[in-house]
Amino acid sequence: MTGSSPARFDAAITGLGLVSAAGIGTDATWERVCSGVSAAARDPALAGLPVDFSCRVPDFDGSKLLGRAMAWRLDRFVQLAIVAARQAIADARLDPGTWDGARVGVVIGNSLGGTETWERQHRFFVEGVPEDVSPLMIPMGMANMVAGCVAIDCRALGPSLVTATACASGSTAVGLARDLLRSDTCDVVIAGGAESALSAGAITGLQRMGALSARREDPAAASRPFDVARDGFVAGEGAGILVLERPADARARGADVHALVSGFGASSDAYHATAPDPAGAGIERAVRAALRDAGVVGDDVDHVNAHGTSTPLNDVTEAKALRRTLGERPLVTSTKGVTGHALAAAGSIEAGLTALALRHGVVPPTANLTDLDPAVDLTVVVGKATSAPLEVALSTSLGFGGHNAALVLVAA
Amino acid sequence: MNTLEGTLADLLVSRLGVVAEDVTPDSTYEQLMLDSLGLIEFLLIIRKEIGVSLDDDALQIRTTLAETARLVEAKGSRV
Repeated sequence: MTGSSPARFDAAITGLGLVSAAGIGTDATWERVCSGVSAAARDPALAGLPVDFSCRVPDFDGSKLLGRAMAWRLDRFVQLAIVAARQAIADARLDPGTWDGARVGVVIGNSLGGTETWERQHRFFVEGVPEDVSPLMIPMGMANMVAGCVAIDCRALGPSLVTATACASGSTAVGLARDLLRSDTCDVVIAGGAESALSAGAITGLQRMGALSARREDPAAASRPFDVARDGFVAGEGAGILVLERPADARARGADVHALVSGFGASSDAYHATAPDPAGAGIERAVRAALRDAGVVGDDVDHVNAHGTSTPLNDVTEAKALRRTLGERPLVTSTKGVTGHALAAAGSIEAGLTALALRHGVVPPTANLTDLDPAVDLTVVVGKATSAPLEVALSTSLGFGGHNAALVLVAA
Repeated sequence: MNTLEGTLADLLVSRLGVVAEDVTPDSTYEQLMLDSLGLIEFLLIIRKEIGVSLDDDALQIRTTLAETARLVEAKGSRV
């Protein structure tokens, strides 16, 4: 395959920043994901709730990482994004002090905004007087602040946008960021997703809709994508930020390229607010569009970082669509077995992990997968990370609302 | 720095991340890098921690810590 088609547009990933339950930093996250050991654990902030465990980023202290003067004004989802964006920009060896900020854009996905802020301030309001409500409630809670504050932090003066396609938001952001390069709107785009919605109210809402695993007795075994005994996802948090540039620009400045984003496809199920179309027609359309955009066919795909949330519905639906579009050849994994489901951040964290898989020729295992659901007719990597030559990879994301997104990444 | 000024300075440092070495009785909030939203937050903290309720426009970015202490004292600080 990978002779690129004349129309193909590649965006070079020149920087990566990953903050997840698997670790703070790209190396820490990659190592933990490759170990296949789940990061899910009992969460003291959720004590007493029907679901009292999560995949929280361990030891993330915004005050220490960003300074208290900055941190107190930011909800945690924005703190996570800024930390990951700084990592990604440093990894790209770009200097916000000298770059032409007008040519730098920011596109970051977020779904639920600052739930911790909303819930805490609402409590102050209900239990006290209006003067108890912080004047920072609105700027801390608004979803768009994740892009706005990253732009402020790195002085990106081009467009700053937030994508809200639920759990596909991070992938959608990467796809739109590539379009900003293709249209020559920007020369550099800081792209990805961020989410921190591990507040008691948000977790209760997810639990009440039946989305979360109820495996309270063994949280570390709760996120088990594609396993026959899966019963829901484990809520996670994090941020995945990619620095994207045109390959020629990256070459011209001698940048190290992790991988290329060569295709993006998006679709809508137009079926149900929360349940995926059981036939998987929506995600299939997104995957086929991404393959076409990249100028490849299903047989070219060596590796898939699947959405694989560990919910009964998602995993079977997605597996059917992947089997129809790609066959049984690609090595499939769901890294959510380790990281949990970071909602709007999931797609971009996984795009980053897909780039690392291509770069290292390693597919991480799907944690906790001991008994493959017979309805999943795919080659899913289990047990330990598998080495293989990888040229073309796919990362899929599905979101409540019927949003589907697929990214095709190609080795640099 | 008197006791009340010290209490206010401690709150600025511990709650709003102001650098301790920067705080003197003559420091203005502008010098301490606090904006108008930060001042409203500080008023909220003063009310909850010291028990004195000042008007929302009591503090301006050019108000000093010593002036703030006098305002709090005039309203009957318990410190």
